[in-house]
Amino acid sequence: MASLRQEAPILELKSTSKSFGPTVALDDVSISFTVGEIHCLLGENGAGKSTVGKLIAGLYQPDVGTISVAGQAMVFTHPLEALAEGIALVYQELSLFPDLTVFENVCIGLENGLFRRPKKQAELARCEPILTELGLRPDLHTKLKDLPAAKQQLVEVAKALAKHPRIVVMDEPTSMLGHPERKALFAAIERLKLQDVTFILITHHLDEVIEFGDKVTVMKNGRVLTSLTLTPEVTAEDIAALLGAHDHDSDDKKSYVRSTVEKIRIAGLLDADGREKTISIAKGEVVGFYGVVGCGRERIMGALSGSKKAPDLAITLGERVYAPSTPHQASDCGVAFLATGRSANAIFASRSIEQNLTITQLSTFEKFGVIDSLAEAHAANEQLHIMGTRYGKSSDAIGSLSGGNQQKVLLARTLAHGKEVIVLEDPSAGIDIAAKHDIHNVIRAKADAGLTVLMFSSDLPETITHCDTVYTVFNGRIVNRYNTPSMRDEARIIADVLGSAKKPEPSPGIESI
Amino acid sequence: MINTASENISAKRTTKNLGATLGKLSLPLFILFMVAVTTAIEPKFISLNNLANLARQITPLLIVSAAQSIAVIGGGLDLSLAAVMSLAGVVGIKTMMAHGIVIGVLAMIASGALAGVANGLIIGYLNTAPFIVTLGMLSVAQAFALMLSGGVPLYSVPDKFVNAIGFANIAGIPVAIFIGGAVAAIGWFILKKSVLGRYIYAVGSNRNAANNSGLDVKKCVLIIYTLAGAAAGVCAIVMTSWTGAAQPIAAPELSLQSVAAVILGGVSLAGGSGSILQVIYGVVILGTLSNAMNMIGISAYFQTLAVGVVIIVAVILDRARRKQ
Repeated sequence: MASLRQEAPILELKSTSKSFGPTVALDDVSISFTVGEIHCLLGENGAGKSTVGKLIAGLYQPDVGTISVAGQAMVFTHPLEALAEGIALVYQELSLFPDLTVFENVCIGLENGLFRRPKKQAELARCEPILTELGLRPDLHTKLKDLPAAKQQLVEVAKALAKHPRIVVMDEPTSMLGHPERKALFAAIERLKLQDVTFILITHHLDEVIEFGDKVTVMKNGRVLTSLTLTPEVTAEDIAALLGAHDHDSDDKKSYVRSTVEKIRIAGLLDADGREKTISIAKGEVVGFYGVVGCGRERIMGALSGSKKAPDLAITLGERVYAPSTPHQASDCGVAFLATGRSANAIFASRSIEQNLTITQLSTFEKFGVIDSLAEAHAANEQLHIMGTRYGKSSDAIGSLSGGNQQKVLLARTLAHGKEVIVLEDPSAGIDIAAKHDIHNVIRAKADAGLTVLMFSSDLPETITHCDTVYTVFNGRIVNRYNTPSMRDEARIIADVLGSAKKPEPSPGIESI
Repeated sequence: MINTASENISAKRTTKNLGATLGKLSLPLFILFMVAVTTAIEPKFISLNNLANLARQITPLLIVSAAQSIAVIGGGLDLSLAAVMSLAGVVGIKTMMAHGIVIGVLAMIASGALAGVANGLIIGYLNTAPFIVTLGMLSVAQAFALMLSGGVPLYSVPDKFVNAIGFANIAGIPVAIFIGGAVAAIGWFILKKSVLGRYIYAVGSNRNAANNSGLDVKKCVLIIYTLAGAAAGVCAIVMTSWTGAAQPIAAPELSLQSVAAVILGGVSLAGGSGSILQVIYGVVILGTLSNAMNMIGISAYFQTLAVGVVIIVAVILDRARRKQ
């Protein structure tokens, strides 16, 4: 019986191709998906993964080839038609309504008829299990905009799952999730999988593929490189090799020599036992603050970036008191901030690559307030080159770049005015491995040259691998400090941020506070 | 999501370039079309006399639309411009009577700018909606203009002022047109060439991002509305010198007409994009439309209808062009 089920795919793409003008997004792609499997799609940005997802969900139609569901060829002209077949898509960029509550967001699309009164009880009964499972039950009547980014992303997932689909396409569902949210999400996925729901998971995270995937399809330049079943023998290295990427997240970090020059001092923090705690950050140090959503590290980030004042923290920058009330004031002190949520908080979508990049350094090219556009273009191209950005012309729209390349532009913008310190929030969320690698290299090079980097990432491997020092935060308190952390500290860090920290045994890397 | 969007964009770049060029030319072509049709019906339309008259007629709208462009590109809107212009006219003429022409002219610009400062402080520093604030300012400025003038037009405008600006020509072209052209040129220069312009586009494109990248967003908003108010003051110079009076309610339709011209010029109401050059075309279209229909002898009721239809059609076409 089991073998028979294996042979009948629930969903199949047969020789599908899709072009947008001269650009070939998919070239003769055939993939089959079996009932109740978690099928991961891997590949760099631009490999065509998202296009596959959108074909399946009815946002795009293939130019050539067919899509069949349970053996029947289907042509979806609209996402609603795919939904009628039980296919739901979880968008990478959130498709939610900030002013509606979590409940209303999840129920959108479940109403029957425009003018019928929504049956609250029935809707609630339908949504509640999945909301509870994802840990959103307490936030049911909270407006979406009042939730942190990670929870918003879970709402996006809940919205799709509440429709009880039999096939779910998830495009980068974990890019903004912290550890507990990710755990809740995969618990839900594993449960639904047992009920024969098929998951198509578009991701950049090899660890997710290894841990949860049943099958993986690796894509490159619009083609399928290979599809393979994930037996326990397959390792992350094997798949990384398929992707053509080296394993950047290796543990052999060069030994870091801490500068003796103090750059930042943060007083007024509390340690795990509630005692006053002061943190000292050296010039050229890459410091990560890690904790779950709502742990209080946002307060530290707000105070450092100037985006939100925290009156109880006393910060010194160099020799001087540092208490910016806006990022503008922070910028005047040489501190730059790159916020998460590219489209909402960082990108000027209607402007060019060049204008997005140079907005923080116009004083370099101006005379009496007039911009020297030649000098500007020159500097822009130079900086884009240093970042390894792939782009056409610097005057092209910023939207013509892939996510990873957009992020490189934004990092270059941040570096341009962050002469002393940069504050990065999720610097590599939702971008491909190669772009991530470039970004981390640039950050490291800048740190080596004396720039102090404060990283507020929800990506734990990123935090561990790329920070010289990691502070764990729980419940508004600094739990532990890890000097030159390694992946061996992962379990302990997770325990810290979930509030189950044990007093660490004395070890050279960890400093209990 | 992002990568497919970019695939989409790069794929459509070639067609888009062609479309963009056509899009940029569509307004001038429409102007030529209007001119040709009107001239065919009424040859006097193309006479130098009428063209000079037409240019003078559209100058106030041109100035106010330049101001509106900056406000809209900066992510806002200024509905108070016409009322501020009336107030500036009344203040300026009263000052002129007491202190002479030069101080009176400066008073017009200063009082316009001051109203703009009020708008800018409230919108920028108190983070309020431009639509509501400038709607309120419309009433406030209007009320002050009525109170200061006693509710009647001030006709005691010095002849020298009227002759020097309102009815003077340089090389056969009315001075008012030079003033209007200068305001539009300054607006263009600020937006395209200056650091300030770059900040205005950035703030209009994404206020959060502008703030996060360390721009002084509040100050930028303050400057936007101050400039707009000052331009309204300049418009008061043109209006009072031409009509020989400071009307407490001078040309209330100008505010909404300027919004129409800005939209017609393809400036996105969402902010962060658009150019003054296109807005000038929008102004010329609206001006020519009413001038042409007057020449042909179409009734005023029908004219209002025609203007409305043109604006709506323009927006539909613009939308279609962007979607392409």
